[in-house]
Formats: sequence, structure tokens, C-alpha cells
Amino acid sequence: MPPLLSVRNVTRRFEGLTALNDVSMEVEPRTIAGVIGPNGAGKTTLFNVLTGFYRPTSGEVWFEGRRIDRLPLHGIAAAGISRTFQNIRLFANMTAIENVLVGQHIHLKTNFATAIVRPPSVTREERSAVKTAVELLRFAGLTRRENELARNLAYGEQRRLEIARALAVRPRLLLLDEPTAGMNPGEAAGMIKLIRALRDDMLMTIVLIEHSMRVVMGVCERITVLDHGEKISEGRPEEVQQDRRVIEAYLGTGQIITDGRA
Amino acid sequence: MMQRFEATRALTRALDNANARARAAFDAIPLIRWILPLALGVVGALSPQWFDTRPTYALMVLITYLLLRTSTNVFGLAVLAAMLVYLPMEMDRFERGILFDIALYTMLGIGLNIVVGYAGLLDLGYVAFFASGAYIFALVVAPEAGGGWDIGASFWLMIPAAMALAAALGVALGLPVLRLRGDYLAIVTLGFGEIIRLMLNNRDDITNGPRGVYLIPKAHFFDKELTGPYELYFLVLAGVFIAAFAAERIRDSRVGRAWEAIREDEDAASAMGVNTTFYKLLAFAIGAAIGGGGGVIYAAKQTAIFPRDFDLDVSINVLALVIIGGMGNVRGVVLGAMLLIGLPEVLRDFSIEFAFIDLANIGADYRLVIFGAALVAIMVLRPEGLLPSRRRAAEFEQAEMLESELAT
Repeated sequence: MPPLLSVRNVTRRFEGLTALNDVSMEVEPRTIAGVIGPNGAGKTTLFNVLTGFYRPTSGEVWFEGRRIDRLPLHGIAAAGISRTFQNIRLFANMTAIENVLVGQHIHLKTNFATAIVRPPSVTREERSAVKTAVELLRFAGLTRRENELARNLAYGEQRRLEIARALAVRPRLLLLDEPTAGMNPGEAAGMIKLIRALRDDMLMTIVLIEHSMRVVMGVCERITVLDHGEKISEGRPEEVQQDRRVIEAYLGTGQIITDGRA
Repeated sequence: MMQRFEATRALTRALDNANARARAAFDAIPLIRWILPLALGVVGALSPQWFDTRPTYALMVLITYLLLRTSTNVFGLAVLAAMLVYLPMEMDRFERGILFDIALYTMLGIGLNIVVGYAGLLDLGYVAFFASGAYIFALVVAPEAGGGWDIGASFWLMIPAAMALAAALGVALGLPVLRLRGDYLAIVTLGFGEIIRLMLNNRDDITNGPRGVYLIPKAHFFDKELTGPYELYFLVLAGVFIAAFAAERIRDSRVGRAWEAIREDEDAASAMGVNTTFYKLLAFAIGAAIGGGGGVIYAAKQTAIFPRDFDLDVSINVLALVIIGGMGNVRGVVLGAMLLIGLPEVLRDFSIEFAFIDLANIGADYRLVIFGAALVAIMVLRPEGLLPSRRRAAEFEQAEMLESELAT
């Protein structure tokens, strides 16, 4: 099977800083892939390139046999990719269900004229959109929180609402930026369960960025390790775990430790 | 030093408490809600000489406030409609003029509210669309301007035509400013409004410059000539209802949600597949179309228009009434227009003669002072506006929470 997503020699520079240097990776359908690396390794930059927030300085991104790195920002969702954000970015003053309804935007047809006239087709569409939204919220474990303003939800609930909103796009590829950041162990375990269910029940392909090694090792089938904008390792969790370069990137080299500068 | 700081703090706290109490009173005291309008009604009914501009106006504002605040049912709308139709029959020419202005500004407010309240694009040049609607109509139909086509029934065609052209102008303004946000957008739109006014003033060859366009023919409704503010008031009223209906329906649809999402977090909205460029332009276009429609009716009523009718004041007034009424809410706009446009006119002949106090000219001399004080009072007591949308109220609550967190 050809890869669903393929990142080809992507470089991204900001002024003098090279945030990503010649990074390539491939993601097979229905897998959970992880991107890890120390702070400032370029993980979020990579996500922002994949989702159209940044254009790569050089290199290409292909998704389902189609080049996507030149698409406008809103075209990425239409292409079938959806994301969550590291620092939760919900529509804070909209209700949970409205957030998910915005996620369904590209699948609905109502325009301003039909909104005013409101023929039966619009009413039908709206009703089925609400039904879908309620189901997605239930899937994300937000039953009975539908009409709560997003900003009034608990932190863990907000993270799950972001996932429900991303799922409403009906993506073939879901990008999760630190889904368990700031969660207590209980909430994180729930999140891991949810991510597995996404792949197993919804047949979703997932790429996630994580800081927490336990999450990455537990849930990902393939891992890409970035450091200083470069890919330093890639493979199955147990392979990556033993890679000398990865250990060095996370813990520093032996010399530095003996230098006493760590 | 420390003590002075403490004193300031105590004062701030006291003011906050007073503010909260006043707000609670405003919301809760039945006196304001029911007894006052009833009393005014009784007094008005018993003493005919009292049934003049001011009590009528106060009554109108209160009834509207109560209806808009409490009910959406058919009964409430029927009472409102009956009042809006019955009142002008009892009014003199001056009062009808005020009523026309209130209705016209309500229509403009509904249009601007789509841009500012729904899509969150601060537009300080809204007058440009109002002016373009008025001038497009006037230049086509007025003989002086070289147009002078016999319109007759085609007045009704001119309204959609002018709206479409104003919408196009809205898109033309929107395109270059799409990337701007907040203050920068406000400044550019402000400039745009001025550019339109200066063009009307200086392009003598097209617009007849500061001499204006006059002898604009009357509109006809079948055989009836629509003269003066009275007949055209009903036309604006129809415009208000259509605009309000359209605005509320769009707000409650996929399109309205897209606007809200853009206002809340533009990047996140894009990531959900919302074409932010398109929806911002759409907001400008719809807002501009409503403003242009208002302009046509205004030109038809005035029968002569001048560039100075379209200065910055109009933009500021429309924006102010949207804010006073409560941003994001059509009902708020209605109330805002009543207060902002009605109050300074009604205060014109205001005087106090009581016992030893004789302030015969207090209205004429100080009406703008009283008006300004009233606006300040409203914004202090209800910064979110008189009838904010649910979401606006939530945003203000959020802002206050953040502030109090920072303060402690």
C-alpha cells in the first residue's frame, strides 16, 4: 500500500534559523505515528507545514497522491487533514456543539441565500449536522456537555472537544499536537484510550506529537525523532528507544555529563 | 505611600460594588420593568397636553425594550408592529422625521452589525456604502445630474441595483484590507469612508460636487406618490424587518457560525476548512448592501443630497448605536437607534419649570451634554450594551474574570 502521507526533504527557515532541515517521513494508512524530540526540535513547525500554516522553504508534502504544500490554509481540511493545537484553540465563546458544527463546515452546503429562505433542505441538513455533532461529542466522552460554552469546560474536556471538532471534518489523517499535555495520569490514560479507539473504530490514521515518552511508546507504531530540526532516528518504539543518537538528544552525551556542565 | 495605595484600592472596590448593585437594580427592580411604563401610559392617557413628544418617546423606548428583551412570540411582535404603525399617525411632521431617522439608522445598524458584531471586523467607514447607495440612485434618476431617466415603477428596481453596487463596493474595500486585523482595519476603513466622501465632493463632473444632487424624483407605490418621511417611514420599516429577518437567519446558520468562528480564532477556523477570505468579504458585501439600500431610501426622502450628509459622524453614530444596543444582536440595534438617534432630538424642547426652578432652555442649551452623560451612564452600567447577544455577554464576563484575576 502506498503511504498516505509523505513528507519529502522538507526544509523550513525563519530568517537565520533553520527550524526543519531536510526532513522526510512517511505515514502508512491506519497507523498511529509519533513525532518526538526535545524542546525546539521542530515538531510543531513540522505540524504547521503539514497543515498549511507554513509553506516549506524547500521540499514537498504529498497526501493521497496529491501535493498539498501549496494549498491555501482552508484547503487542507478539504483535502482530508485535520488537527488539534498544542495550546488549545477552541472557539471559546461558542458552545461545545457549535464548535463541532463549525468542524462540519466543509460538509454542509447552506449559503447566505438559502440561510435566509431556509428551504426544507436547509432544515434537514442542520438537523442531521446537529445529530452528527451529538454523536461525535458522545464518542469524545462529552455527553450532556453539548450546550456548555467551550471555555467553561474542564481542561481535559477541552482537549477532547478539540478532537471531536477535528473529527467533524471527517479527516483521513488526524494530527494531534501534544494531546496529553498538562493532563493528570488519569486523564492521559483516557486520552490514550480515545486515540486507540480513533484508529480501531474510526479507521483513522493519526500522527501525534508528544513530550511524554510513556504515551508515545505505548500508543505509536512508528516514531520519528527530531532534534534541532533534523530527523535523527525513525522506526518502531523499541528500536528508537535504543538508538544512541536519541538517548544523546534527550539526555546529552557522556562527555558533557562528565564535564559537569549538564 | 502604601496607605494611599490602599485607599485607591478601597475606592476601586467600592466603585465596583456600586456598579454591580446598580446593574442588578437595572435588571431586577420591577419599577423600571413594569411600573414606570404603566405610569407613563396612565399619565399620557389622562392628560392630553402630556401626550406630546417626550412621554410618547419614553413610552415607545420602554415598550420596545421590554418586548425585545422578553419575548419572541407572535404577540410581542404584533404589539410592536401595531405601535410602530399607529404612533406615526398621531405624530406631527417633526416627530415623524425623528421616527424616520430612527428606523433608517436601525437599518444601517443591522447592516453594520453583520460586519462588526457577527464577523468581528471593525469598520469605521460604513457611511461609504450608505453614501454610494444614495448617490447611485440620485445620479441615475435626477435630471440635473444628466441621468434623469423617468423611473416611475423602476424605483423598486433601483433598490436592488444600488444594493448590488454597494455590495460590490464592499468587496472592493474588503479585498485589500483582508489581512488587517483590529485597529489597523479600523483605520483603513475610516480612510475609505473619507475617500468616498471626498470623491463625492471633488468630482464635480460626475457628482456635481458640494452643490449636491437635487430634484430627485419622488418614488411611487402603485399610484401613490411617496412624499415626506411619513410614507417613506413605512418603506424603511419594511427594510428594517427584511434586514433583521435576513440577519438573524444568516446568524443562525452555517454562515453565521463561520463568522463567529473567524471572530473567535481565525486560524482555528481556517484549520476547520472555513475560507476566511470568502466569509469576511461576504460580511462586508451583505453589510454594504443593507447600507446601500438605506441610502436609496434616504435619497428618495431628502430629494436632494450633498456630500456633507455623508461625513464621519454617520459611521460613528451607527457604530455607537450598535455598541450601546449590544453588539451582535439585532434587537439591541433597534434599541440603540431609538436612544442614540431619538434622544438628542427629543431633548431639543426639554425644559424644567418647577416651583422656583425655571430652566426654560435647558434642552436647547444642554441637550448634547445630557445626551453624552446618558451614553456614559449606559456604558458604565452595562458595558456589554443594553441587549447584548448571549455570546457578547459571555465575552464580557470572560474579560471581567481575567481582569479580577489580574487584580488579585
